[in-house]
Amino acid sequence: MKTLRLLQTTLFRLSVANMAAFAASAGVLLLFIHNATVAFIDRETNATIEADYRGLAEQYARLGLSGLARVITERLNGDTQTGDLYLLIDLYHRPVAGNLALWPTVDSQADEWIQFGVEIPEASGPVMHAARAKIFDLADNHRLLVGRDIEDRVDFQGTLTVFLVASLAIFVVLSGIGGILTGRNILGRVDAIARTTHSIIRGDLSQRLPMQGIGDEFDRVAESVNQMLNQIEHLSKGMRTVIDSVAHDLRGPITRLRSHVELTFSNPPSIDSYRQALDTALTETERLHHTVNTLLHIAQAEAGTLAIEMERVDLSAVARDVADLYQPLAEERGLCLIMDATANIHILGHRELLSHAVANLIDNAIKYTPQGGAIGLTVSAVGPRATVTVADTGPGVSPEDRERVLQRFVRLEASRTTPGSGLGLSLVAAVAQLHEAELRLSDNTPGLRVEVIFRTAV
Amino acid sequence: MRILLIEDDRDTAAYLTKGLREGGYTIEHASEGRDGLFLATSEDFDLLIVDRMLPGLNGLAVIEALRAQGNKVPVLILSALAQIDDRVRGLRAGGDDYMTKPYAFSELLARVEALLRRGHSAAPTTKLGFADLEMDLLTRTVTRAGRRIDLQAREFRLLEYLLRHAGQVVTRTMLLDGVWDYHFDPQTNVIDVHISRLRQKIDKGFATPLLHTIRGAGYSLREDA
Repeated sequence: MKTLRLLQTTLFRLSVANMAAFAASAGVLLLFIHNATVAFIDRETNATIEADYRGLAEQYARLGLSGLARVITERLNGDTQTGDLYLLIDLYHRPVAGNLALWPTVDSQADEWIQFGVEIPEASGPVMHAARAKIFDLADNHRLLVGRDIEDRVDFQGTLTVFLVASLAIFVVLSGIGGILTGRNILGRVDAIARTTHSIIRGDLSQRLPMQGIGDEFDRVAESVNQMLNQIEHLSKGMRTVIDSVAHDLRGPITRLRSHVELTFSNPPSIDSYRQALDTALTETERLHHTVNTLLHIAQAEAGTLAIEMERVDLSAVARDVADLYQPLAEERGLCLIMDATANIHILGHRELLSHAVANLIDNAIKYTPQGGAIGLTVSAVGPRATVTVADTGPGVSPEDRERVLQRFVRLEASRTTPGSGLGLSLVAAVAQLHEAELRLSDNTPGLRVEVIFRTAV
Repeated sequence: MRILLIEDDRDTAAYLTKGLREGGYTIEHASEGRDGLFLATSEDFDLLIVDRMLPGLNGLAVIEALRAQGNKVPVLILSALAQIDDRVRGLRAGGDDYMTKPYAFSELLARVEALLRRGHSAAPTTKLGFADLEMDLLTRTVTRAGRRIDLQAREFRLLEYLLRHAGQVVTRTMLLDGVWDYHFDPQTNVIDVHISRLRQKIDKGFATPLLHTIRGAGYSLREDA
């Protein structure tokens, strides 16, 4: 099964094709080398034979037939291991001189190259060797054969052929093994990715694709997929929290609404009680409506959906507008809302969400600051940082609760009596996150100081 | 006044039709985008109420098709999508106002009235008035019964909005939208305080109060109580 899948991998098929192409071209090259070598050796042999003949022909011209026979015999007596072959015969094919016992049986014409077998006496007995020769017709009906024992050349050719075929075979085997190994490796990594993907499909979003840390193409793909998974996990977590929150915060009002209606039905019918019940129902639905909208706002801000269009926003203008909206309310509650904004501090953001966040901060400050207190709304910029600060003189938030109040629906015990959904600060946190801003809660001695630190836009 | 309602949810459609009929409007209903577009092009309407998500042809496509034909009928978009920038997309497609579900019927009625009114007074005005209250948009002065009333910039815009919708119910969200350009609901009802301040300035010392609070709905400039 594994082998079959290996054979199916693209890489394996690619390496097989590659191997075949390479083997073919290597084969052609080796064949060429083979033929060229053989031809070269043949040419050398022929040249030697012809030079040899020219020497003999000179002797023949100078000394005549008997002289030629003597020269041949002398040459052969000189040394026996050169592989030179000579045979001089007369009209009746009788050997006159030379080291061949018989004229070769192959059909032969003058000035032609012939190949034939020749018996060479060796220690172990006579051995057939391949020989190459040229026949020359002499003037007085004699014929001369000048040749060479080419057994060495034939041996060499055989060795060369074996060597070439063997190297081709080794090459094919080695590249096949290489293909299988790399195929296995790649297949292993693909399998790992597939396994992870399957567990993700089954719902385990915490899984991440394995990375080798060598920065190759697999790592690069794994890295982007992992980033995508992070975002998906983040979104789906956000989604789940929204659903939990919605269930949590809607159940209360719906239960109240329902019990109120049921109670009204169980009481004796009267226009007044019906009116009152409807009035309560309307108030409750309005609150439900408001909560749902706020939750959706938070969810979207948290998810940082692509649908949100960021633009250059004047943070000071945003703060000024919100201050303007809340000023009368603050005054009515006996609070002093002090606005201090440096002009023209721009960030890249979403005006509506930023306004909503600042409004929530001011809203909270107004809600929790006792009469006679002061609320400061400041926008300042230092270097690349733009900070919106809302500071109040209310009861503040204890250090251990600061992290908690940013979560949804968290309302500290002390504030149970004040109306509110407990969503205000979590929207601020979500908006801050969306703008990649830092949200800092600190002690205003006394009171709460909330700072949202943005990056300024160029 | 004829209104074409293009809405696929039968309950919502029935409820809106009933409510708007009681409000004195004539309602035609189409439950599909293509039918709606056909009705809107073949007959005359004073207003269209279009759901964004429709079978056949979606709401925005219907509006875009109408606008492409040069049809300028006011359109109110209803949407269950609460994407933050969705409203912008709706208005860009050629809608005149945008409401997200769930909405209060009083809110819808108020917006319908505002749209119908807007369709009739297209000419730019320099003076607004209601009863003995007068506003000059060029000199930015307000007088009531000839007596000058000093208003802050925001109060001026608030009164301007109310005057432009005199006699109609104006909801809090309409004011937040029209005067502050905010599309979220602040946790505390801040508008009430702005209204009571404005009321102090324009009604205090005069026999007939003009700025009324309509319980459960919003505010209205009216002469009768």
